[in-house]
Amino acid sequence: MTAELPLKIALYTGKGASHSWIWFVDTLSSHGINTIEFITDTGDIAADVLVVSGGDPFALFSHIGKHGVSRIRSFIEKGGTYIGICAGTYFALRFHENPYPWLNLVDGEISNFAIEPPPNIRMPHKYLVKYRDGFVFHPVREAVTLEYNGYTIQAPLYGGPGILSANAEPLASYSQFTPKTMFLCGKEEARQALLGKRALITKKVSRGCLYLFGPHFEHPHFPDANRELIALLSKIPHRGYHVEPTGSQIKGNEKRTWIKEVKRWVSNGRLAAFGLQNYQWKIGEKMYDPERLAYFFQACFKLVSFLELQQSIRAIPDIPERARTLTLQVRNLGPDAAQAEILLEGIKTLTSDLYSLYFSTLQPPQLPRTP
Amino acid sequence: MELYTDLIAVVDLDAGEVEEVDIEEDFIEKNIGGACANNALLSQYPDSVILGTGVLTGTLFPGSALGVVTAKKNGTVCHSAFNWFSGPELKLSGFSFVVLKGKAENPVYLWLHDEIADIESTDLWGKNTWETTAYLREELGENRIQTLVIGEGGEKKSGAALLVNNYWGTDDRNGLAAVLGEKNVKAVAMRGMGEVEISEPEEFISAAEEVLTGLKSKIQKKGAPVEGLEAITQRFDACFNCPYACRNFVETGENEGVVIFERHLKDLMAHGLDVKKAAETLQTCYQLGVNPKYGKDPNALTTMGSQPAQPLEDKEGWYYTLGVCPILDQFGIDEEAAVRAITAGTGLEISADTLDDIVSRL
Repeated sequence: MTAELPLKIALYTGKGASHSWIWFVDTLSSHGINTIEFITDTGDIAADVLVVSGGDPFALFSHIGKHGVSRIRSFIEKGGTYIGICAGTYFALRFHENPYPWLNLVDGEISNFAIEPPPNIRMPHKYLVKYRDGFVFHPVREAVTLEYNGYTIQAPLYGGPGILSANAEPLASYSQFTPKTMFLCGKEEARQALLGKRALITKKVSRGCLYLFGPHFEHPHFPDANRELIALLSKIPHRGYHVEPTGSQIKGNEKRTWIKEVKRWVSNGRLAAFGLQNYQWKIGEKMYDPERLAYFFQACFKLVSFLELQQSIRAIPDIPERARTLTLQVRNLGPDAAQAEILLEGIKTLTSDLYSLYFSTLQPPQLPRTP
Repeated sequence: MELYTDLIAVVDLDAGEVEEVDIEEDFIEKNIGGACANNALLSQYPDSVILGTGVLTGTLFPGSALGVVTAKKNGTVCHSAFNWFSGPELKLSGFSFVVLKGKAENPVYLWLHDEIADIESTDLWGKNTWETTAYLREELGENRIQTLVIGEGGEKKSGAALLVNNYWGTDDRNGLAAVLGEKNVKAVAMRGMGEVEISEPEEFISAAEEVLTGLKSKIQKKGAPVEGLEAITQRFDACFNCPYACRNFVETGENEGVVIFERHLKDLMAHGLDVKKAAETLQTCYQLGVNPKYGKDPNALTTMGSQPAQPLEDKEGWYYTLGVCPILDQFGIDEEAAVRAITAGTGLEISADTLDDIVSRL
């Protein structure tokens, strides 16, 4: 363990990752944790923690494949910590007798899998995901109450599981619905599916550990849940990974020209994304809407606005051109899901690059790696 | 500066460059905003066209939709108003004022968004105002973009040129569309997601609510129906944050219609057209960007000679400075509450007398 170096977090943002990783980054950053590296494959995870957040586990697996899964296993066995949230939890949980070859490191059963799910009453596109002979169904969305460490907190649920049993230690369970809970099936069926079921579990595997969340503790509108997430992260041992700065330092006219061009195209992209018609695109097994795209552009705009105010910043030369290309793609986007997927992956990369530049601009140089 | 977004865009059309100038508190204290501030900018940048927002434009103050375009025509400083959502959109684009100086070598449009002012060359010259707005919204990918556009009238520098806001005529009583035409500026497109800060929010909202309550108690009818057009009036619309839905959309054919600006309709009727024919003709006037005050033949209006300047009337200068629609004057706005809103919003000590004194300079 190298005490001088902070906790380093590898956050998966590749195919299959939705937009909720932005919540994770913003929440950690607001608590002073800026040592986050964004990864789009799992080949070589040089970090203390790997986070796989919300999205589509089918798309994730189709991208990283068996090799990627094996690398994640190896990462955990060698002492790494895996944090799964929502899709990242399904990915790590073996909840079917004939599972897809995902991570499957925790054996368990989930309460929201059924051959015949309860009838859906709203948001049909968010309700069901086919899995083998049955369906994973999502009984509620938005804020639910959890029992955690002997008291209650609220966190939102956007498709995460209720865990019936698992060969893992339970840390939190679903205890109540809230006035903001949105029911996608009947209340009684939702109650049966979720209340009393586990919402967060942990398991040691070899030298490493997994934390699997159903709800999004990282959502920035839920400060109590955020604090618990940060407290949990604070217990993870630091293994001495160095965070390399991204981009090169620029200032003066060079900085002004670069930031102006980035802002120009991010602004154009943001406005066009907010102006998209009410399309929906099926990418992998998940439905995406224009709001998701706009969310990424909004995050980019916020980061650019921060960088604009700094005297000296880190920059990547080709970002203005990439932002321009993405803007033109938004302006021409129609109902074609293939085009939407290209755009989604592009804007995710741009967003994570801008976050990396933001962190690199913020951070003082770190101490050299301790031998 | 509270109640404003931060910047003045000084657009040099000759050089194709934009300078962003911070709005100083002293400038607002001396000029308040809207027509008065435009006047000051015109003195600083002679022979320019100034687009400006009032101190209350784009706020919660009722009727705060007004923007003002100012330029010198035949030696006289002239002001014309635009509203709908363009005033607020201009302010929220990050530029509370825009100075257009010089002349572009070839036709351009100006695209204002998120504190960025882009000068874009265009082949839209020759397109009517409807085609231009539709093209810009499609090209820039956002239907909520607000446009100020010139049509054939402005391109030909007609004395009857009329500035068009999206698809509908503004109160451009001085043909300032022709001045934009002289500068080779086909359109200004605006969209922004900026914010204005308020110095004392509770006091500001209280004053705005007081004015709104007063107006609502006096606005008796739904919309502003025009006698003879009731059967083809599809809906009544209001501009940004206005309690009086005076804009009636009238069907003029299958899938076609026009938003009536009452003064323009009456002008056409005064030229001898019946009310339905006047509504149809108004649509053509707006497409060509010409003002029906000067005649009933839209095509003839595109080549009209110079017309005398139309000065601001009665309390218009006061409204044009605040950024509030003067049509509301008929209901009697509580001026004392309006001054309180300006003081609370800006944090500046501005009395009714100071405001009147500044407005009197127009």
